[in-house]
Amino acid sequence: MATYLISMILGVLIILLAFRAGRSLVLEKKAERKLKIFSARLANLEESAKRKIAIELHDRVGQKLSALNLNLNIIKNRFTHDDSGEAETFFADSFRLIEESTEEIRDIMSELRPSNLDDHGLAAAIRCYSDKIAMRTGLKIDIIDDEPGLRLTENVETPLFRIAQEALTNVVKHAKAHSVTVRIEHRQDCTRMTINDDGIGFTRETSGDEASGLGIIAMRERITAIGGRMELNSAPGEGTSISVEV
Amino acid sequence: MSRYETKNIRILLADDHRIVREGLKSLLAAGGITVVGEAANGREAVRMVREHGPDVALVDIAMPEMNGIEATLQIVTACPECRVIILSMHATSEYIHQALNAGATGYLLKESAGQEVVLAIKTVARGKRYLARRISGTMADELLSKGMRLKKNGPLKSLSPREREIVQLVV
Ligand SMILES: Nc1ncnc2c1ncn2[C@@H]1O[C@H](COP(=O)(O)OP(=O)(O)OP(=O)(O)O)[C@@H](O)[C@H]1O
Ligand SMILES: [Mg+2]
Repeated sequence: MATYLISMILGVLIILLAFRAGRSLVLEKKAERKLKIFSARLANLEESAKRKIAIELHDRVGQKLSALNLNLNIIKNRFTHDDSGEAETFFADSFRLIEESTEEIRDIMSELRPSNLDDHGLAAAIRCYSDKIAMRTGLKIDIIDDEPGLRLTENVETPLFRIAQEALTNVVKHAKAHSVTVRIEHRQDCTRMTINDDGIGFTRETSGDEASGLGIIAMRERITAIGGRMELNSAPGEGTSISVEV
Repeated sequence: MSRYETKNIRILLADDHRIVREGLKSLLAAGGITVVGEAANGREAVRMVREHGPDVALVDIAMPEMNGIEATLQIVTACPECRVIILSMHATSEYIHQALNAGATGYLLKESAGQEVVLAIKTVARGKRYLARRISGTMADELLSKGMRLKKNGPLKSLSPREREIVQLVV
């Protein structure tokens, strides 16, 4: 009888415990979902803030620099007499300064939000970003788009571009690679983008502390937020391949 | 830049920034070029081209209501004799191709438009293409990398003298 009672109490306890564990699992899932939504919302916010700054730079500073260049030309045309030729040098310097400042604005704009992404799509934006990296680092970057000119919706193009950007940055920072290929493949029901480098590769062990970087985590977040998935393949000496599909 | 060559060229200016239009107007006036109309967006530009029939339209690529590319398409359809020069802050090939495909014969970068605009206008008014100095190099590289052959009567014929010069230099 006593054993019967004990086993009954134990049973109830176990059921209670299991119930609590189940409940906390549900809560955890819920919290995780909320966190995902929150981080997606944060990414959208960041994106629109960046776009806004890029547009303001273009519209305010860029246009004023253009006007400044025009005015300077007007002054130069009216300026006729300078024995030393010193004025010529100042004019030339000023024109160069305007061009360089505009170039810097272009660089900042393309880092914030490349206008090419909105105007010409994913491959064009990646190409533009790659050209800059190639010029700076000598890395050989190939971009292959199996349907050039095909546009995806903005909520797909933006995360794919950000993923490519992070993947390419990682190649520059970590891979010691000679070349990278970015491949964009359009299928009937999905789009796949693969970034493949011929660098040193890595494993969980060699990449060190999980907390050290957020890049790969953020890539995964971005793609899952739009219902896609990511696959990462890498091994020491074998290069790295990141593939996203949506 | 003799007055004689440019005094008969009639220009339409289209840019949504007044300071840019003002600057261009004074600069062109000094070069003896007449501005027959000013538009602040693409739609207005198309309407004014129809109204004034200018020889050359200087069109900003980014304008509200109707952008410069769409405006170019409509301008060259409505008025095939009118040459269009795109003014832009973008230096990458996608934009340049887009402008040329829409029917523009000139492409100027805004930060150096002051030095080049009169020459660009004269060049397109003669029926030739004009690309901003800074980009004509990249464009020539790209044409070459696409495997362009330098045959007699080949695609080189469609290049402006400046582009041809550069293509030849690169080769
Ligand atoms: N293409 C690559 N080749 C070799 N190692 C890589 C490559 N991409 C990532 N790694 C390794 O994985 C680690 C994690 O990458 P992740 O992008 O998450 O972080 P991070 O680049 O170090 O920092 P963050 O991206 O937050 O600035 C890197 O520190 C690096 O060791
Ligand atoms: Mg990283």
